[in-house]
Amino acid sequence: MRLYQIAVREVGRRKARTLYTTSSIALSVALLIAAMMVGFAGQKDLLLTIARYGHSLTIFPATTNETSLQRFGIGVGHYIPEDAIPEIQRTYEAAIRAGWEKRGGMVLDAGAPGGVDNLQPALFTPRLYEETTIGGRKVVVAGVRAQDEYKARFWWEVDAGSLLARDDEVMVGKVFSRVAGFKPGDPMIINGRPFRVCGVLRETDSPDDYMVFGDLKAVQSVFGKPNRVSLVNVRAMCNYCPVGEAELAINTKVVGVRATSQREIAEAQHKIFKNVTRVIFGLIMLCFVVSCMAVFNMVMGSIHARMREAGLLKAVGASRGQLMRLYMYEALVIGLVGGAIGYGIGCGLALTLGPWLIDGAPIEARWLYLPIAIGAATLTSVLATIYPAHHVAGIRAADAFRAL
Amino acid sequence: MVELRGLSKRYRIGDQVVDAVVDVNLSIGSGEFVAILGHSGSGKSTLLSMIGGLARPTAGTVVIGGEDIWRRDDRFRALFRNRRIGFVFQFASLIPTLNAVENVALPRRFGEAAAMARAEQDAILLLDRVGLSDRLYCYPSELSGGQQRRVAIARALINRPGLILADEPTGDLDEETEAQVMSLLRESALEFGAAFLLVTHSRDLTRDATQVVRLRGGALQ
Repeated sequence: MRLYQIAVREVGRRKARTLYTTSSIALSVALLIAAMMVGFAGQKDLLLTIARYGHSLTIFPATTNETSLQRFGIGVGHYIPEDAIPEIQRTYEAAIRAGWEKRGGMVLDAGAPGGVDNLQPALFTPRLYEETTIGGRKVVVAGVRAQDEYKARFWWEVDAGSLLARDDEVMVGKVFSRVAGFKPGDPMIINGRPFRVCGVLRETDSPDDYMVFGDLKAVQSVFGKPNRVSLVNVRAMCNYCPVGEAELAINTKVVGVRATSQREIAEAQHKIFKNVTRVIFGLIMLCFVVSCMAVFNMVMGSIHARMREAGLLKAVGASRGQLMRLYMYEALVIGLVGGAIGYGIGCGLALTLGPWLIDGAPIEARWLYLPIAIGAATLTSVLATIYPAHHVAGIRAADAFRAL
Repeated sequence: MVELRGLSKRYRIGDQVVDAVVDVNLSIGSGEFVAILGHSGSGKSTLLSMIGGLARPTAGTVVIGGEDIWRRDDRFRALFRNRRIGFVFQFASLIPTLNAVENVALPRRFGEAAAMARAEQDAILLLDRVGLSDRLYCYPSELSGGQQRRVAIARALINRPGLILADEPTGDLDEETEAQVMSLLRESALEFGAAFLLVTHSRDLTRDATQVVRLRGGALQ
């Protein structure tokens, strides 16, 4: 019969106490694990968003006040001349190169400067947005340079048919396809000109889902807007690009356009998310303090019974250290059980509530969190037990003897 | 075996000073059965606690087997209790989650590792000796009062102590069981050559004692 076996049996004997203590710890652990899982998924989702937008800029006509991704000044007659794009491009590249040179070379990986010569040209993808009516429904038609667009929006995939390849084809967003009932092969009349639907874009959770995409030249021609684009998206082909400097350069040097960094918007969201996560973790730490106090109260509450037991064990030769070890083993058992149960409940909470809290975030149960759960539970249990155990183990043997 | 010299214990309850034990001098030889008689509150249990290394005396010495136990540290006294002293308490005082064998073997858990290896075999032999060979793996809740007391006696004997201290060991037992328990304690002490110190308020239990001392107001009479 070893000390830990005595501890395990003691924990099993005091069922009500064990249940109360364990559930208090398990609840705190469950909150911690659920918050970690949901927080991790949310973080991943935001980082993916940042990666999608990349170190990118969107360039609007300077006369447009609208900067949101949803409207872009559509239908209000603000355009950028297509032949201004090379100037924008030159200004952008020069600013990026100057930015890297100022930093002592291009950064290939975080903290590792590389050569400016490795710089890849950015992708410039102009779009012309025009509003029209198709099949009795209002819809935005986007004219794009298909090949450049595919490179910049590498996450684009088709659910049915194929990607846009010819100037007499159009590709439709998933939501528009569902609502208007268009499928690959269907004819579509835009402003009196016939097109054929080549494919349906897989859902992207962006305004693209509601649009019809055609070749830029064809759309310019159909709507009588030759050499006009509504905006130009710029996707930098480097990590940690000094996009802010390019944004400044375009805004000060190119007349008639206004550049806005997409990354900054996503990073601002990321910062808010991180702050909210910190507050949640702070509250969870408070839960741990409360459960620590609950365990402490529970152990202190049973101190009279423990004094009798301590007296007996001391009388048969147990040292103070051995008694402390016995109580610590009990705390460990409660911590292990509470941690494992808390992990299970936490995973369940995260998988159930996570998708509701963060729409579309990929919530995954991670085994890595199991040792964290058990560690947190054990630490709580042990910390809460130290003082009562010290008190009981240090009881004057004569007092305990009298108690017997 | 046991030498008590000028042993005293004084403590305070609020402003009141209580002399629980006053200048006790006593010698107990190996194999001797000494009974300490006294009423409740006469200081019997306090005296026993000081002899057993559980309560520090205010004055005087307790020498057991040549060792002045109150000159040594707590760790030494814990080990000393484990190896040299067997306690039998007023009540059975068994650990409820351990069966009879495990309860008897418990002191071995706190002693040397080598002794632990044979703990279960020795516990079974002792339980057999106290007549509980058919109740080896019963838990305390499954044993009668007398049986529990016998388990406690077997536990006190597991390390073959040189001194057995019994504090009112038959307090809650019927007459027949009381006689059995006393006879068992006395025989065991004789068999192990241990000094046996019994604290009781019952004169009947002192019949076989080699020495009977009376404690009144903390002092021997």
